[in-house]
Amino acid sequence: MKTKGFALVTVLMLVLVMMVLLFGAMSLTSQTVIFIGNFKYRTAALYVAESGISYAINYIEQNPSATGTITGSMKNSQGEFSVDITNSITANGKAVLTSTGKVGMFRRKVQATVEREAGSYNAIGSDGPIKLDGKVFINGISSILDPKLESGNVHTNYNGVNNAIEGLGSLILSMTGQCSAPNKSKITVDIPDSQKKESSQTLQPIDKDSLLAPLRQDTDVSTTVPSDGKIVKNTHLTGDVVINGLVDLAAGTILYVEGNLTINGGLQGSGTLVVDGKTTLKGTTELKTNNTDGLVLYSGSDVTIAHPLVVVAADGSMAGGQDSVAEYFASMPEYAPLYITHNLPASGQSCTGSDFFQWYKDNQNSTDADFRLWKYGDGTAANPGLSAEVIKWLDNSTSITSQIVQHTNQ
Amino acid sequence: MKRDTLKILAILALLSCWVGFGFKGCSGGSSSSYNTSSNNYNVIRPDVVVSTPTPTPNNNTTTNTTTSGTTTTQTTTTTSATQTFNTTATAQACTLNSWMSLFLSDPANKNLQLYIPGYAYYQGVIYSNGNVRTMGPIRVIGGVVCKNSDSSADEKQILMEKGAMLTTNPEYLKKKLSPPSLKLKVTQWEEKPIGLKEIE
Repeated sequence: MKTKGFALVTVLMLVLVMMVLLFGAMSLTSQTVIFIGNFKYRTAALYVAESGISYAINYIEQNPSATGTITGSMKNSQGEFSVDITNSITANGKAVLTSTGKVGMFRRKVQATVEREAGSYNAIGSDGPIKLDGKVFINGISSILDPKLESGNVHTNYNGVNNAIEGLGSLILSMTGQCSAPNKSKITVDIPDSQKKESSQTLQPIDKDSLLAPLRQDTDVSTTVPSDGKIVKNTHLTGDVVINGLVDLAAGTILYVEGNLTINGGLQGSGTLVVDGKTTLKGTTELKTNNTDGLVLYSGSDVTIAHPLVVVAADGSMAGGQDSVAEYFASMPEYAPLYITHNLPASGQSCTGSDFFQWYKDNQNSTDADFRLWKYGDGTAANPGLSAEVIKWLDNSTSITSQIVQHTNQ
Repeated sequence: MKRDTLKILAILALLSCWVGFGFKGCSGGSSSSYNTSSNNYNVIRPDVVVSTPTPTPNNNTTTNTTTSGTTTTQTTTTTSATQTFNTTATAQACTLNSWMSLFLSDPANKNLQLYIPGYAYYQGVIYSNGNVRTMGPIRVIGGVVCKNSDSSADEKQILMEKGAMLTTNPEYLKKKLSPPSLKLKVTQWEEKPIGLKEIE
């Protein structure tokens, strides 16, 4: 009798334990389901907030003075965003966008600061045709203090019988932005179609009289160029002027030449140069990395600017001064120094100056494990190897290694 | 008496003729000279020396037109005097060796993006009413605007050749020009916490 009663109690207890376990498991599962659901909606809310930023960027690009709040939704997500725009593009080229994404009861907020990009301007703006010959590079930087590579655009309003933007001879164009003209079919340079655009723009004129106004009011205008080349006073020169040596035009200073101007030693500074006639300049070999203002050159007639070693033949063609080593370094991929110095084998690290290129040529096809690990990597984050672009750039150096070495101290 | 009166009248008539018709009519229309410059236009008597301002060295074109009888010949002469200045200042150059030393020792240095071995530079805006030509390894950091004046009938062109590089730098352009379009880039990005008031 006693045994039979014990079995019933045991069964009941087992059932109870199983029910507790079952309810526990169900509770855990439902919590997990809720957690996963929450995670999904929270993540979706973040994506919606981010899409709001993209939407707002596009909106401001079309409406540069936009301010206040804009709202929208992301298709197929049941999400909505609202973006608050604090716009100071006109004042300092910046805007702050605060986007809140909402999916169900979940919200996420993202804030982005956006700034005007170099591509807002044209590297070249012209009413006439644009012709490019040989290796030509068109790009942009964010600023001189923070020279990240950005887009450089070329635009012409030319819509005559000839091509608007064309290559002469063997053009090799390296371009980070777009080419635009009123008639896209007249852009004949070899670039992807996505980089060609059909548009017309009214080029903003620079008014000569406005540039010269401070000089006209100045009662202490110089009529000579100091022998040290530093022009720190407004200067007015009449007739044709040739300056041999470097000229440094101080900020706020105006040099006005009523005639043609030739500067043979380079021009630097951040002043204003107004020339009534033709302007012929040689570039300076010195770059001022702290010059955040730059020069303004207004020329009433033709402008020619050339490397100091350029020689012009009698027929006007460029007869000398082309430099394949300079062109090679101009085509260096961005971040190449970071790629190349990462895990560089000891034998490469010991190179000084341009010896590096001789070392690369000597080892180009080496089977040395360290060299191959540096060049090709092993697929890990620690050893990514060189990018295909950098390898191509280094491989291109092997055909001009001797010229690079000769160039060392030039 | 009548004869004297007639003589006086004749002299008066000649004088009035000389004054009224200037220098041509009464002098037989031998010659006249026009001196045209960009700033003034003078009718000059051949027998009168007109003092002119002290000439400054310039390349202004002076056009002299000589009229003789019914034949007009026009000659254009260009007076050219050039002022030459020699400055002692010289620019420093970044050699390939020093650039490569920086390349290997400090690969994140921003100067590696700005300097290009073998290149020369111009930093600023170039605005021209004529043609623009950039030649050889020259890097213009800023921008180039080549605008045809409304009165100009011939096309002005831009020619970039053999290594020329043009790098847009908004810092320099915004000094004198408004951007024709607006392209934005994100420079800062962060998630912000949702405030309690924002929760429904």
